[in-house]
Amino acid sequence: MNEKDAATAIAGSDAALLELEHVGKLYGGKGVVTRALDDVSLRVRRGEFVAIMGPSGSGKSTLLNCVATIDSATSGRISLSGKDITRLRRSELSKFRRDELGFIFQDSNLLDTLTGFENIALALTLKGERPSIIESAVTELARTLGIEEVLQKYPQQMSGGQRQRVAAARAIVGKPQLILADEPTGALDSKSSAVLLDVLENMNANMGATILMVTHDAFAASYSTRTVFLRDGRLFNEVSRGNDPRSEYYQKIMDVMAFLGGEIDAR
Amino acid sequence: MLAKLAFRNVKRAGRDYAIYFITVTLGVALFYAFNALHSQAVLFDAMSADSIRMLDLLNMLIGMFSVVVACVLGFLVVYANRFLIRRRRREFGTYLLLGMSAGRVSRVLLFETVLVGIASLVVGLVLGIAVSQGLSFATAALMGTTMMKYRFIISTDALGLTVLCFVVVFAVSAIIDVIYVRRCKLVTLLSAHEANEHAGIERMPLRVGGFIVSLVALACAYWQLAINGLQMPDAHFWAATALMLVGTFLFFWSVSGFVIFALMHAKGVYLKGIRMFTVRQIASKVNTAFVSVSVVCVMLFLALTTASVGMGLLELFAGSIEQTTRYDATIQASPRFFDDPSGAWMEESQRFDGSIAACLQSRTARWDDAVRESAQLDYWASGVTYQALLEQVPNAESFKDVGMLEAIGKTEVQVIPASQFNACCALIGEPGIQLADDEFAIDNAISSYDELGSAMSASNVTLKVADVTLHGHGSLVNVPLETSAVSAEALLIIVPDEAVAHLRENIGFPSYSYLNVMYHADRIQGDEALKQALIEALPLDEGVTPATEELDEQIKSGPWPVTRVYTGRAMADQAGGLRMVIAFLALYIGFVMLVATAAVLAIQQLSETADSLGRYRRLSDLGCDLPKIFGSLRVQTVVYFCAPLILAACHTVCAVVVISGTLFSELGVDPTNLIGIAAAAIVGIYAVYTLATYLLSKGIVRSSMFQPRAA
Repeated sequence: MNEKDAATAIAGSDAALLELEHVGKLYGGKGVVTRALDDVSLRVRRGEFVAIMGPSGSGKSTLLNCVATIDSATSGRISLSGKDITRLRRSELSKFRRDELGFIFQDSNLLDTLTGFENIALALTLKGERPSIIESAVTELARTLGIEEVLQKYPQQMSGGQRQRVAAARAIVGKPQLILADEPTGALDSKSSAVLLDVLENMNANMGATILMVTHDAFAASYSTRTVFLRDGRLFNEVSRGNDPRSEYYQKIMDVMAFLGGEIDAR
Repeated sequence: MLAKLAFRNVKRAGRDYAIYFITVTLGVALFYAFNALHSQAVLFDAMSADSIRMLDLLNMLIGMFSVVVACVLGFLVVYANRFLIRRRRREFGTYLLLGMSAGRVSRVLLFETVLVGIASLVVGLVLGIAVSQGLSFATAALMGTTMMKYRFIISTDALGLTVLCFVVVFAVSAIIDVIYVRRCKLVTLLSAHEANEHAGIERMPLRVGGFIVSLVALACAYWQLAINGLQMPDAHFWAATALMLVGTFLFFWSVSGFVIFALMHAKGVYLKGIRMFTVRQIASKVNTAFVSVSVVCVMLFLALTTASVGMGLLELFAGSIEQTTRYDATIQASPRFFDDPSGAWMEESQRFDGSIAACLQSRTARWDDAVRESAQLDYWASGVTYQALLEQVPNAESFKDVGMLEAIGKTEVQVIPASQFNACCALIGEPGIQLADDEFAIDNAISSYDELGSAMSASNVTLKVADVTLHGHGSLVNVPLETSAVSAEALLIIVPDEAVAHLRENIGFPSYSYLNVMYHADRIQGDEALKQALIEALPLDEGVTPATEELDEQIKSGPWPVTRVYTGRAMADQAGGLRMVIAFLALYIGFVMLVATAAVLAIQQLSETADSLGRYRRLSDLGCDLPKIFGSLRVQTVVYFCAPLILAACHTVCAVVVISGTLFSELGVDPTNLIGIAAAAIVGIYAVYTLATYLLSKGIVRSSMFQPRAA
């Protein structure tokens, strides 16, 4: 079964890269049990840009953390390229994160002692990449993402938008199978948000990145190719962009949100 | 309730308090042990007046340095406490937020300080009392005395002093803490981290320039120190001190910038694993804390130098004491030190034809009871300086450096008649020397002058004494000619008696004379007999009672026949006592400074680790495994501890080399072994602190990694 999955995943680009099967997550002990995720099943194909939307407390960050192996699911199965990541040993987890995943967090999570260049390069040095390759790879990527001018700056000398774009660059520079973005625009103003989302869209469309993004912002979600809705730990609905222009796709997302009762923006 | 809270806090913050607690405990223990030395001395069986005097000297010096030690430890306590509070300000903020009054919060804090203070004081005193028992044996060994009936001793004086000192230290620190908490705004207490504005290194070119300037300043400092030779605090010395301080501060201000600048141009080295992170982490730490790192470096330098020079001096007194006390006693007459217009001593001296023994013999019958044999040495001013000899030595620079040669060259040659020299040799069973009428010989008791002495006594070297031209005997003799604590006789010139006869006609009196004496009985009885004889023969000094005091202090010092008396036993006691004083002071100061600085570094490194937990988590999120993170932590700790140590060691090596050149080698002492032992001990203690710090910070990081995180 596993091998077959892996074979199909590699065979076609529309095969599932990430597969969640009946994933559940319980918090708490004997007395009070909180069900953060309840039987969530989701497939993300290679080359997709999937947004997960949901009100605060809907379990979307938990879902992302489980995929990121920062948190572990209590039941169900999560596999990437057919490999079950819920069964990885603790010692294998960091290698998995380093080699297969890229991260963009709300607070950018750059290391404040390193320059922009060094922050991006870190993703490569951790993989043991050759130093001669690193410099050209980082500089080239920075040109593509329009962050050349901040390469020699420290995070606290950059604007919030610049920080997030550096974080995006760090996430993709190691060519991971999957990029996970947790509210990447959460701390940005609308202009910086748009720039960052352009970057993500560009990464998805032209650089072959598969992205899973958690957001509560319909505008951010409208840059994705598919939006799934989460409520009370359960998958609720999903909208695909197809060939729609963004404005139409945005409207569809807003419709689902209205259906959800506006709660989605409660955050 | 408050006490309970305080107790729980201390228990929970145990890890933070551990290094602080251990260091204060060690400080208390040492403080007590050294201050109790004097009381422990009652254990010793027999002590000469010289030994007692040395012990008093030691006690006085320890008292003086205890003030310094108390200040260092006080600084440490205040510093460490402030660090601990800053780490816990969120906790105090929470208390305030929950409605506890500032007064109550500071009382919790006060309780904690008192709790830790009492604990470390008690444990430290127990340890100190144990250590002081051990020190008694060391003291006895160093002073060459014994302890027949050992018993356990607690010095109440030292106990009181220690408790008083540390109560003051803790009180001051508690007051500072309370003021801090009362003045703090709730919002600052609650903000998680101080805004880390200076995490990155800025103004890189300035730093690179500063680094080069600092190296130049340090090189100049070393150069100035070499010129000064650590003999006198002259302009060169102050220039060296100022340059060293400025250079050290500038060095730590700029070194991280320079290293990063260099590494950025060596991408192959820099872009490996989490090396960038490690380098940046150290750089940011050294950069923000460069003042305290510099202070630590200077303190380490003082500790290292005290310990090394102390050990060197120890060797100085250990090596030669048997050689320098071969005569039972030496009586010295130095008319030159007295301005006696009456010339009464000249008359007296002429009456006995210059013989001290004959003079004393005529004054008291006890002289012959005490003295079996004696031999006198007269030193005659030759009217020429050593320059006349040095000029004839080819390549004199290869034996001594130019400054030394210059000083030697300016000294006037004092000559000894060969017959007197041979009589002295006979007293201690040395063969003596046969001089032809036109020869001179050189006697030398300091081994570092042997080569120069041999060259100067070569047969083609000539010396003109009172119009008689003499040439070198060819070989060097090494016979001690007086009783002293430290050998100080170098390049004494022995000439035929006829040459001295001419000098006598010209100048009448020798510059100074030594009468070397051998007793009938052993040295203890002999010393007593000599004392009785001299008390009878000489006027007593004003206001002394003969029975109680030491010989040297009773008799009135005069130009002739007796200026001073050196007995073999007294010199040996002095040398032993000096060894003890030096060894203990070096240990005391060196050790306390070392422990205090290591503790400051440890506390800084631990709090740095705690402040950087966020960074380690990010690394972990990015897929950096724990062994790699711990590796980085290890490198950070080692570098942070070693950076000030290495620079301090460079300073120390420079200072010790200079001192060796001007002092130790002049006196023929090679202190390398003892300095090596001291260095090993220091590195050992330092390594223990480094290891402890690494293990503690590893624990902090590990426990934070497995804490659940907010979603």
